[in-house]
Amino acid sequence: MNGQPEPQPIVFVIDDDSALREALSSLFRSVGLQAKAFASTSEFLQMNLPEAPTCLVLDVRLPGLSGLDFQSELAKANIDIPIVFMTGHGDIPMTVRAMKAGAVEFLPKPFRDQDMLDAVQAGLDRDRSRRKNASDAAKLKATYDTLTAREQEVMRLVTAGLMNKQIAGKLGVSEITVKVHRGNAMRKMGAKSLAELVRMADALGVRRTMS
Amino acid sequence: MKRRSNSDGKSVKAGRRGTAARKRRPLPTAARKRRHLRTAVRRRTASVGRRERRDQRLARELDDITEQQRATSAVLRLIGGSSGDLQPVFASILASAVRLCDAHTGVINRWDGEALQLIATHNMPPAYVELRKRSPYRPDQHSASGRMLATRAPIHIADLAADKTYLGGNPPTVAAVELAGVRTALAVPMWTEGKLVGSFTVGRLEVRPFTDKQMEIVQDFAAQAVIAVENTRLLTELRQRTDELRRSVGALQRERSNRLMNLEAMAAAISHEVRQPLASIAANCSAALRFLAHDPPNIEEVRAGLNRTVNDSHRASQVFDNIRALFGKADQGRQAVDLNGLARGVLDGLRGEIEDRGIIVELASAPDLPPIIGHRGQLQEVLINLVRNAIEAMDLMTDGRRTLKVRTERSAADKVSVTIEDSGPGIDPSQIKGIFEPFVTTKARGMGLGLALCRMIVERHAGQLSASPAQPRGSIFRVVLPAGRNAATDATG
Repeated sequence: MNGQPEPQPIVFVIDDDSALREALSSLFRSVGLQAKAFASTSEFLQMNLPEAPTCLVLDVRLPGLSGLDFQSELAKANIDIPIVFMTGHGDIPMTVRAMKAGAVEFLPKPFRDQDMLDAVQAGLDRDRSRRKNASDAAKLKATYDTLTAREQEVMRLVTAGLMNKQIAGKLGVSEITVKVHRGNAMRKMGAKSLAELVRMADALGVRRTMS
Repeated sequence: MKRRSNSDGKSVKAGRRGTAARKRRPLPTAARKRRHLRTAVRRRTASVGRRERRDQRLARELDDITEQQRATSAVLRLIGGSSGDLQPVFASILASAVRLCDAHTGVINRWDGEALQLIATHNMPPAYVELRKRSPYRPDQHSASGRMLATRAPIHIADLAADKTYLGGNPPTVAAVELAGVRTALAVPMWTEGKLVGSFTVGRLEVRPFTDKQMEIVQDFAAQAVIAVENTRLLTELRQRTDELRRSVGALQRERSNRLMNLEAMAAAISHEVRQPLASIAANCSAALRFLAHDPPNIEEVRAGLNRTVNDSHRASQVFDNIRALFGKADQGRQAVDLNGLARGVLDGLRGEIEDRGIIVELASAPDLPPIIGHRGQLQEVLINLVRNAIEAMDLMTDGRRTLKVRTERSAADKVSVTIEDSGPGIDPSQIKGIFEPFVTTKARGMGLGLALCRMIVERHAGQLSASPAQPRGSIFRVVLPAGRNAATDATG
């Protein structure tokens, strides 16, 4: 993915009022943001989430299911998408609950365009960094998987602080062999120093703790 | 009165002394002198004895008065401390009266306007009590009690067994004589504010008439019994009044808070309805401004946004028109409404939404359903809202049949009802109490109303709107309205 252009961010809008859906879509279009609107949560769930930074703009009152309940359902299903809430009533307990559950912003209707755009931008940024973290971790894991079983073993022991001689004794091989595996592991993982390799082992959660 | 002798024994002794003084015969002079001297000595001695006897008599009287006083204050304490249970009070009054009057038995009757009801006895056998409880005592003019009730004066019968009331076979008198062995009887009426409340009777198991003093004591105790009865009556009345007052204050408060809630509900609905187009207007205009600032300006987007703004402005003003139509002159335009037709019409109007979701509708219309008198438009809004809520509740279902049951019925002689049942997930029991409160409405669409407003409209038609869980799942909303005749009087009143 390195060097590839970032996919177009998308703003999703769920509101049962078609006029407001159109107005919001047009507002996002006016600042060059791609927007997709849905009349209900079930309509939204029928779509596959794209591989792009996304943000959801949601009314707290939706037919059938409240926006807050939908928020917790998404969380339960491990769908991590930043949410900007809109409300027709200034309901403080509801606001508190939404913010505690991780909402980006809670905007009373009618809202200022800049407030909405700022909130959506903050949501997209949050999703972008979450995606980057997730994809970095995935890349690291993929690289680690290219190591041979022996190289992974050596990497785990080295990053745990053992010396080559100790590792050789532990695995019943010569010290030279350990050095070769260790060199291969560093090279394949792209680690320029032992410290960097330790950080990678930590991120992967494979570093052995020596008791 | 108090200086008179206060017991049978003493008055008899006084009589004997009187006859001894009168037995005097002429005697010879010497003898007369001796006699005179002796008499003088004896007289002096006798006068000393008389004084002593008088002192003893006074001391006894004082004792009696003290005892009566003590009994009276004990009874008054009992009355004061009584929380309405008169039995211990009556028992104490009877026991004191019987003891102080040297009687054996006592009975208190309550007069209910037709008969004397036995309410307390002292030393009367259970057989007497049973007989009195079985047969009501309706005294006629000729019976002793009848005379007492008519004259409101005490009746003193020296020998009940020789009295015409007994000889005439009056059952309670016969029972008193034959079951309890009562011979001398004294009955005192109990009355207050010119109204008879009962009788107070004491009896002896021998023929020995009561003295004036004893009659007075019985009357005193009868008066105390009246106080006890009155006290209890007043206490009960006070409690009833207090309860009534509390209830009416509660009803007033509920009505007031209902009105406030209805106002709040209306304000919330209006606010929600108006905020929606306002939010669209704000967003459209902001977008248009931004499209104008593009280089080159995106005129097409600006035009489309302005057109939407015009529509939203009309939509906002429509909200007020609708509210005016609904609530402005709500009491006008009442008419006979056929609930069956109304339900059918609402389901027809929502057919699109129902079919889109694959919902099965079961409409059960009761035949011969009397019409209701009401505001057709308002009731229609209520039904639309309830049906729409039911439809939306089933949006959340992932499995199972989506069934909407609408049923009209005659729920009582003068009531008709319409129930709307869905097979959705049902209402969370913890929320069922709050669903009719403003702000807990599901989102209103178009001119949809919250449940709070639905309830308000139904209540303005003198009806009720309630929610309950359905079996095996789902919710039931039920509207109960008064049938035609009642509704008509409501409408004109």
